[in-house]
Amino acid sequence: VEETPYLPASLELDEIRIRQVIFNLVGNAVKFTNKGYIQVRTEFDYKFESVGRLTIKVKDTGIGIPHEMLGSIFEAFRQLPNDSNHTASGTGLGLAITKKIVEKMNGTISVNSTPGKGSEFTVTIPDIVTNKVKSKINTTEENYKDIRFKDTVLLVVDDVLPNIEVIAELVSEAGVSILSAENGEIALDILNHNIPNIIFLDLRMPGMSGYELAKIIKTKPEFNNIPLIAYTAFAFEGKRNENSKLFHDFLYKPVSSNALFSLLKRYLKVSNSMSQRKRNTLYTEIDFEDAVTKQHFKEIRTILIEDFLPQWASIKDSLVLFKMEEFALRLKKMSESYNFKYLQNYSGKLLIEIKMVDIEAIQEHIECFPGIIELLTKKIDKKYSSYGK
Amino acid sequence: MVNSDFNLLIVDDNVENLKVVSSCLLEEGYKVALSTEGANAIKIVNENRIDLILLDIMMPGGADGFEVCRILKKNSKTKEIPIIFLTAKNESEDVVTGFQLGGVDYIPKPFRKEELLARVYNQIQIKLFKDLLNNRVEYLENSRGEIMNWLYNLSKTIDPER
Repeated sequence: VEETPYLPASLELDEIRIRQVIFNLVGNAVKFTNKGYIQVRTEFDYKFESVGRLTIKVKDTGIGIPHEMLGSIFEAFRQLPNDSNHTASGTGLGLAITKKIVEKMNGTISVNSTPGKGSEFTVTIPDIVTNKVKSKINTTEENYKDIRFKDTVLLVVDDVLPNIEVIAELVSEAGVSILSAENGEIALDILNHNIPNIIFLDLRMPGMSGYELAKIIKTKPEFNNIPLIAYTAFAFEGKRNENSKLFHDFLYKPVSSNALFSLLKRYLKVSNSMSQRKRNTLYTEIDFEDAVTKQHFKEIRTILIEDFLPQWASIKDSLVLFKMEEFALRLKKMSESYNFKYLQNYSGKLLIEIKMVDIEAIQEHIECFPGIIELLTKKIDKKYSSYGK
Repeated sequence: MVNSDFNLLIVDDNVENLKVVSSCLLEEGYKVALSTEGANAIKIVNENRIDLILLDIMMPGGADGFEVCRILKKNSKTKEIPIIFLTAKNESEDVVTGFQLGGVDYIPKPFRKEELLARVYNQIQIKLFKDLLNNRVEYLENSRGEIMNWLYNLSKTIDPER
């Protein structure tokens, strides 16, 4: 990406639309380019002091466009004639939509292309007002760079690989591991072995749609607490209300890091310590603000001692991961039935560490278990004595 | 049968190797148990149903891979479990010793994921067919016994004089 040095700090533009234009053009370039590069350049020519013309150029070294096609590529459903050797595919609407958007902004779009050498698309939008204030988005985006999430697994289900890659790229530094599935069947298979912390679902996929998949996921009690996010094209926002029961939230394509991180922040735990994991201090206190009554705490302690402690003793010395997984799953179910967040958290973490084969973390976590019972006992005693007064 | 029906034990003193190997297998849905040394590995085999063992040969202190294999093959309860050796140095001598001790295959390290998975898959298939065959043989022997018994009783009811 090359910016002209004279590009103003901020422009008054329809952010969503301009992003869609760039996204479409770059997406196209990626699709038709097997080797070489894709270059995005922006230029800004001042007309008056605070008004000017924005030019965006997207150049690729791809297969190019045949001369006879040049005139019609902005029409709907015009694609390269059947070329079985090539992997490109699409709706045939991308450029038509792009052109419409550009025209709505009073702009123009044009193309230069040499078959076999590449293409260059040029978008020009006149009379844009510049803004001296540094844009809000830029500053918040800087902040997002520092966000780290705690041992988080994100499942993205989308039949279009670049949509998954965009997300993977954006969260790559934030402590989030990505699981990806290109269709509903694969997603369900992944869910058989993994419990992600959050799931993004593309709504329109060949075969099982995102709605159907969401319904199936909803029927499984172990996934009840996982936020389901509809990952969908902005154009379908109208359907939002219809599906609000099925999904916790919506994320629109093309996705910005801003939208992505503010959404993740809403549903996931943010890690305060960026690099150092404070494992040992993790279990020194139990949050009794949990929605658990005193009576239930006693019940939980009894279950832990009579049911879970013997099982723990039999698994703690060997790394038989499938038994540890069983233990953690059972513990998770039990704590969920009491809505005991602390134990839910503990067992959930353990499950992820088992999936990730994080041996040191597994061992440390497993060793903590009797300590939890001890702390629970202490807390119960304390509560009783203070109630006795 | 699906992969999650199979419990695989991986034994390697190198924790990083354990992680790499087990991650590959977990991705395929197999259930795994891990051990960094011989004695603990034998304990795990005795306490769990293990369908296949991936066994590192070179392990410092205590029992090395060969020793673990010898012990498991001596025990009638564990001798049928297939063992694949993980060999750091691709020395033909080690490989031969491994086969002599009853190992079914070996995977030279560093390994390719696809190779590891293919070799594991093959051994699982062989084990499946073996189990199937054993069940079949047992069933046929039982039914043969029943038939013989039935024929014997029948022969007694027929009067040879008539």
